[in-house]
Amino acid sequence: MNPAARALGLKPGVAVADARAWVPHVAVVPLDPEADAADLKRLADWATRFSPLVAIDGADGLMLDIAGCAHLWGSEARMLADLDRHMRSFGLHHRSAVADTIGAAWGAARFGAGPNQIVPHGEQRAALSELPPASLRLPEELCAQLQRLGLKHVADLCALPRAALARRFGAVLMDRLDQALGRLDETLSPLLPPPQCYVRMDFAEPIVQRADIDRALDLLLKRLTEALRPHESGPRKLDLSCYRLDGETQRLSIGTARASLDAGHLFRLFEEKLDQLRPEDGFEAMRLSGREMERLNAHQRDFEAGGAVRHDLAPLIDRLSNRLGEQAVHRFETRESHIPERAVRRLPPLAESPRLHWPKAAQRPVRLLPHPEPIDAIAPIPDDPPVQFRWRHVLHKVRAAEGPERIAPEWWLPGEQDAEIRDYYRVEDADGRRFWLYRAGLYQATPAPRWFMHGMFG
Amino acid sequence: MTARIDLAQLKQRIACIPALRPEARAAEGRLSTGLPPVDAYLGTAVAPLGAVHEIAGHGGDEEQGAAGAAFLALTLKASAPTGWIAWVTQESDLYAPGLAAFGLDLRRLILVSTRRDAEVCWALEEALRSRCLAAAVAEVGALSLNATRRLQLAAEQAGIPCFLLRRWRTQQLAQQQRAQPIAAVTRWRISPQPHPRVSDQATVPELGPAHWRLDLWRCRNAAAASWIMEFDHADQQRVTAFPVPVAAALADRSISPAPAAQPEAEQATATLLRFG
Repeated sequence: MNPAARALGLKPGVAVADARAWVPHVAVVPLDPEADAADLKRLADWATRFSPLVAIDGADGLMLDIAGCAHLWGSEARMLADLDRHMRSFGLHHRSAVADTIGAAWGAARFGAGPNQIVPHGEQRAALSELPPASLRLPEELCAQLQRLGLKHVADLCALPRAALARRFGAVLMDRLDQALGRLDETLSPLLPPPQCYVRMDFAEPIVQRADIDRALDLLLKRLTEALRPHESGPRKLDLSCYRLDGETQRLSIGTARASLDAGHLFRLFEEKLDQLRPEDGFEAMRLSGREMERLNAHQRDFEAGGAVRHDLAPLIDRLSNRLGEQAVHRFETRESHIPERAVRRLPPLAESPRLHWPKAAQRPVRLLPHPEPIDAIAPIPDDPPVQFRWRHVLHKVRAAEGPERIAPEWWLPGEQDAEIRDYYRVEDADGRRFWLYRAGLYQATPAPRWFMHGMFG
Repeated sequence: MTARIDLAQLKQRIACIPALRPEARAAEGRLSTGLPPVDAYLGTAVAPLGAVHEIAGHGGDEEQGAAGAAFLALTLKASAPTGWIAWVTQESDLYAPGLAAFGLDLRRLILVSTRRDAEVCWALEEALRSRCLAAAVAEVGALSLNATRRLQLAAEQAGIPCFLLRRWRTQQLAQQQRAQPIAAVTRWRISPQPHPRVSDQATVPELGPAHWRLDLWRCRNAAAASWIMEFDHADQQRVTAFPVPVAAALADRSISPAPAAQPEAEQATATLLRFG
């Protein structure tokens, strides 16, 4: 419903047939709630240029917590004017309001006199008094009820005794009223986790060139790290938001294994990803924010790697895991399990001394297939290794063998109740290659036992 | 146009190349395998530690590289006794308990998983240039000469070894690529060998120690050489190697597949060397 339609007297809720009868040339566009929601999400992303705390409000609204942000524009009025200018350039009709409380801003934006309102500090009651009760974010039935009783303005409600109101209309009304007037606290649930620190930069002219983006990022990193240095803590995750002229927001994220305030190192981590940015007509602002703050540990001594203080491993790990994925870099640790594939697990690379204990007597292969592969094996004697087997289309004749080593399933684990016992054999083929095979289940003539290849000794 | 060569001047210029100075050469580490006869041979050759070393499985081990990984574990223990080791691989079949049997300290091992061949070389170069490692290893199939030159340069500057453990997905790929030139200072080939035993027994015999044939088929300033390596899983402190007689080694200098069987009489005459 655009203002032109509204001016002709159409209202939301009017049937299409009635509207056509009323205004024959009305253009009807089918409602697409999913597309609308997606667009609203995009708009919310874009709105993070005004404040990091942005929440989606219903199907058609955005809430921004601009506490401490407005001064970047000079004043709240100038911030609102900037918002207005951008929304117009996107071709969007909008109403907005700034107020001390979420409730007051909501009511003023939706029911206020003008499209861009600023409720002065502490003036919520005055701003809302002439507005209908619906501006208090009340359920529809309650609004209708109040309407019937002749309570047409918020001022009428305020004039009534609280106890009577609460008894008659329930706690919802009182809570909403208190929230709007600032007597009850209310917080936003923002879309993105709130950053613990951030710096932003607006450009007089939109930037397109890679060299300019590099310079801006370098400056942002230096400002952020300088600001954090006195606190002796640093972020483990950094997000770079680039606000494009057409309202699109592009985001790059990096993570570090350990908090770092080395601007050069952080820049190199971002550098790998800067190619993903598509500036098109240019970025008008950039914001760098940090999450997961951790205390800095200036003196990293590496006792495990031979005792001497060696160069720090963290920069290498950061570079590798930012390009290859966070799971790509890891270390081994043993677990108390006899099942070979479960006896070893992956640990983050900088984990403290991993446990490494396994029975020395057990001979284990250098290579273990992630999934045991079925093989065609001929084993004429029960509980004896096969005399030959076919694995990956190649026939191997067994020249020597040792076994069995029986490994029982860990039946107490979920999903393991039906697992079979495994009898492992180490075998050497005619070429001298050594393999680790097992038979699933106890030996029985029928059905034929199933054999699997599990590893290679060399 | 003819260039006038001043011999004295040339000598002076050569003397200025830091890598060629005798004292620089003496100061840098040497590649060591922990196998005395092999190390004695390497002592006579130019096998600096800070260089690219290639290890390739052979005789059926081209795809899995299991024998190669075992030999690499021994070499890492001897060549990089302290410090971090990065191991770049595309597969997820490296098994820690098996490596530990060859004496590799797994607390020092950092695994790096990649998805593409191109990423392997990138990750390896990053690792070499990071200056925080004692050695870098990559399991890799196809390699270009240029890529290995870059790695060689990085390894030389860092002064740490860069081991390329070759693994090919098929035998055909292995045959096409294993002889292609790469910028490696040493190129090793390791192939499983059948245990010398009486084969006409009614029952299946016990395994006994594992045997591998180790070929150093390219080495700067040294002739190719071959050894038989023996490893006893039951007694993990005992790894032995004895040289394959020169005639056999020379006969095998071509890149054609290694002879499948070693004459057992020759092995019997070779001295067994003990490694503790």
